[in-house]
Amino acid sequence: MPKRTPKADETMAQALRKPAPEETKSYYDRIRELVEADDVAGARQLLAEALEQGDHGEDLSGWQKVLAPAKVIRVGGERDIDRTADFQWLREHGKEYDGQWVAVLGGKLLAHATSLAEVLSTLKEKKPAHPPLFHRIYFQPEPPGLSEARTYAEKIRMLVEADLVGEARKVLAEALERGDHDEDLSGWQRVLAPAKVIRRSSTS
Amino acid sequence: MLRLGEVAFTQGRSTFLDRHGKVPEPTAKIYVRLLLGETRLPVDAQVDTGAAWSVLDPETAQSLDLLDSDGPFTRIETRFGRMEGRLVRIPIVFVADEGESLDTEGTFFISPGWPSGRIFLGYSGLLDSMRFALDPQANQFYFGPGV
Repeated sequence: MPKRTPKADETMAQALRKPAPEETKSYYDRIRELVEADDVAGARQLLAEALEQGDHGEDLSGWQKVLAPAKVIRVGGERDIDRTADFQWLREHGKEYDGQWVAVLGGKLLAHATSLAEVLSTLKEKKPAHPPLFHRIYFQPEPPGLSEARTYAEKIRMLVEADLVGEARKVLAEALERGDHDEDLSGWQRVLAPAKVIRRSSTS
Repeated sequence: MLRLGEVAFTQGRSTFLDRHGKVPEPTAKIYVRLLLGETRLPVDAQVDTGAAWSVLDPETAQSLDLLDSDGPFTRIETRFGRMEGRLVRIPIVFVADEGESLDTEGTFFISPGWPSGRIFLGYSGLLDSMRFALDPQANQFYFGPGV
């Protein structure tokens, strides 16, 4: 189709047209807005457009750096020491250090404090043979009213609502083991069970 | 390490911590071991593929001299509310128990308001550029560079 030549009054109207708000904003701000709206793909696309255009006079190197994919520096290098004992220590003693940073090595607590800086400072004196594992312990309190819950179903529901699925499973297991109640827990039993594999199939 | 047909899918494997036995925690999480920053601080971080960005807490950032890093300022909606901070590139090593470790550099959000000790590995600028797989029954995290 042949391109229509605009009439003189249309050309003037275009020249006087108020630019859309996004056209008046810098690329920098528009990228930031996309990032803030969780639209990382859009931000990357706009950045690519800006870099391709190249005549905007903005420094976009900051965005370029952080919107780039992760950069592989090396595959290989040092391996970690076996942390099984450290994990075991965290499982067994974590609760005693609720709200604190701990440094654990070889299943032993090397330092603990409410701040990481204090833990690091203590370790400067101790000079362990390997770097310990640093971890901050969180204890999530039981949901309020749990101890007053009259039924197992109520307890389980409260724990599920508090995202404490592991604890809900424990209460369910206890209820099923005791069996001295007349509650129907089959609904909870079904939904708290691990995913069930129904069928395996392969494509070729 | 893991193969998909004839192709190597991941190069390294590490055991992850999923919960503390005596501490009531929300649903089991995946805490992967890492070495963070230039000083290679050994920490564990929670894998969160639903998070747009990886997050480093201010206390750890401070100990790595990263709290005042230069990077684009932004505001991000998080599980702890809307936070202001900067996006920063940080060296990070996924340390292997078996196979090969992965030495990489990813983007982290650092906000002074973020709760201490909570380090997350999010999707953009980190997990979206690598291959990973989980064996939740055996607490194994498999990882390797993306293609």
